[in-house]
Amino acid sequence: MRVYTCLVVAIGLIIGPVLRARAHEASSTATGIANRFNPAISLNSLILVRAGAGEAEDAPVEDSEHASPTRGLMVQESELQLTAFADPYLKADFIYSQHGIEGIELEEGTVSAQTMPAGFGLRLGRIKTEFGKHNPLHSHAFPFVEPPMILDSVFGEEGLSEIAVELSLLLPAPWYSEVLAGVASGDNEVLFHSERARDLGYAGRWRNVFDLRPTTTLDIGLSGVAGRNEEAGATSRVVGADLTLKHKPLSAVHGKAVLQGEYVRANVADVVATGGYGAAQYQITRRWWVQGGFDWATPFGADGSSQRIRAAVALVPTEFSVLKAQYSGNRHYGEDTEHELLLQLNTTIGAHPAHAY
Amino acid sequence: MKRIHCLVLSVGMVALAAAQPAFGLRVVTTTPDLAAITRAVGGSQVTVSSIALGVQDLHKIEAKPSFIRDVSKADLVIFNGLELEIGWLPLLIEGARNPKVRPGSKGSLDASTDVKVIEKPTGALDRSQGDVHPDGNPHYLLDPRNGVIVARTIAQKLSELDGANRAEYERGLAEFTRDMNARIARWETRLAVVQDMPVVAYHKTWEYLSAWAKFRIIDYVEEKPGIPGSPRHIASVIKRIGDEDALAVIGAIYDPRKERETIARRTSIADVTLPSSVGAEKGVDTYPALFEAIVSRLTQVSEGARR
Repeated sequence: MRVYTCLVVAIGLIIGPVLRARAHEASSTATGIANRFNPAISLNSLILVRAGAGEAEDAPVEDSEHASPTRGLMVQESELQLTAFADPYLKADFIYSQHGIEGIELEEGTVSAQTMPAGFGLRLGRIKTEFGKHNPLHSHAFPFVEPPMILDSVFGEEGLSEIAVELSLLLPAPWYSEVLAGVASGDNEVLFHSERARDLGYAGRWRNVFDLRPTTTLDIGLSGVAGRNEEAGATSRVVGADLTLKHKPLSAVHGKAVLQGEYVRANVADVVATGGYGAAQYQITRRWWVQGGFDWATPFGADGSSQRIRAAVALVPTEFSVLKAQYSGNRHYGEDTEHELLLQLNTTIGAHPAHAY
Repeated sequence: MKRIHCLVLSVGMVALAAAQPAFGLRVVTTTPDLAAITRAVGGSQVTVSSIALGVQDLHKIEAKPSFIRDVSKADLVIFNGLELEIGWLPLLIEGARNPKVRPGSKGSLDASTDVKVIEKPTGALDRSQGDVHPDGNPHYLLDPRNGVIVARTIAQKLSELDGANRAEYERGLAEFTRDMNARIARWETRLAVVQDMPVVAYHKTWEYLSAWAKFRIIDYVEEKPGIPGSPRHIASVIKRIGDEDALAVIGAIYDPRKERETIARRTSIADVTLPSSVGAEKGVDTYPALFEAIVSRLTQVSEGARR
């Protein structure tokens, strides 16, 4: 009996404070612990299976993370995104990425002003430069598994991403016309190579979008970046042009189509790199997409060029997951074509902001 | 020198003329229903445009840059709220760079503010449940009584932004309310025949409509919100139609037809497309016209079954 009494007293001693605590809900005013203003959080993950012939050394950019030659099953990339208004004046948007299973880095982290005069936009931080249509994309939004070869060649494995200040302006034209100008730290390893703080990078873009019909738009852009390359003793310049035709039926659940092309030309002193891509995507049913494309690149100082054709089929059950099967035929500098098969699973959890048009 | 002065003056006048709104407040609404109600209340004092068209699925509008242009010039953006436009409206507002209509500004109006929202999930919520709206079902404008509530919310906002025309907005609201209330009474009389009528719906679009018109939605073609029905689910829906003597499978113009047609063919019930927004069909060009069409179609289903 004594044992039971002791047990009841012990349980009472444990449960009593818990019940009292529940009766008096802990106030965040007193505890300082609250989560109501936490940012919107999302996580994108890319899981990849890669199979096929070809050696790493043949790729135009060696050790590229996007064009990784590793075969087998791998976690290609994970991206953690945090977005929130800091106050009525500023909005913060930070994306941390992990390539494979090691090392986390700030892929893009921007703070944008919310109270600029009408028509103007301002953001600063680590920005994926608004150069063409593909460079600003994050890996989970790529149409194909890897980026176009020319972007790898000219900007490096992570594209052009700089610590920068970017000012944009919506022009008062009868169509959508936007100009962007940015000043960047100029530390891109492929292009700029300068230790001096005063050697900055500069970027500009002019984008025009025309509604051809309520269902169809034509998007035309011109982009340019420039900056000092100390190693070459010259200014690096890259210019690009892009064109996108998009079609989406008004009420049908399928039939979306995208045609896109981009051309890039870069020069560091007298050394030139050129390339581009063309791609088409078509939604054949509510959940299935087919797509195909080609791209080519003549890297800086290369004797020849690389060409690649790609074809893919994608199952899109919801807007939060995509399973993509892709074939790539790669031909580097006139050698035999290498064939590659890739299977990529793209998932999104959490509150992920919508992607730009 | 005189020529230069004339040129500068001309350019200035053209720029000034371009900067002036053509007719009072420029209002951009996300949906055609909100545009129709705003026009009814605001009359000639407002210029209204809608981003979505009546034939489109409001969950899946593309954030086209031309819409960014429209929002950039707006004095007021009115949106449905309850996360209906979460996939595209933030892009338009961010891209528009218009401080007047940013969230929290005077020119940003969530039309759901005064509406009694239904189907607000309680308990744990995740995407294994499909495309659920955490703040509740957003299709509240398919109950005409909510249209009257929203008209009041809009009239108050228009008066706040444009106090000089307050009397006009109050007059517009009173007229709209009187007209709608009279129509609602007539529609409710006609809808007596659909009371308790069992139907299957494609998506959770019609909950407010069924609560008002008092017909029963017994099941959905979608397995979960936004998730198409599997063959097994469709088979269970067909069985339920037989068990409960459902009279129709209803859907919007943008809902996929294949599953609805399969169900209608295998059960011999009516496959009925209802207009879900103003502009969804020819002749449905005002908010009252939307319900005229819906009420007619629902009563036809009931009368057809009795014949």
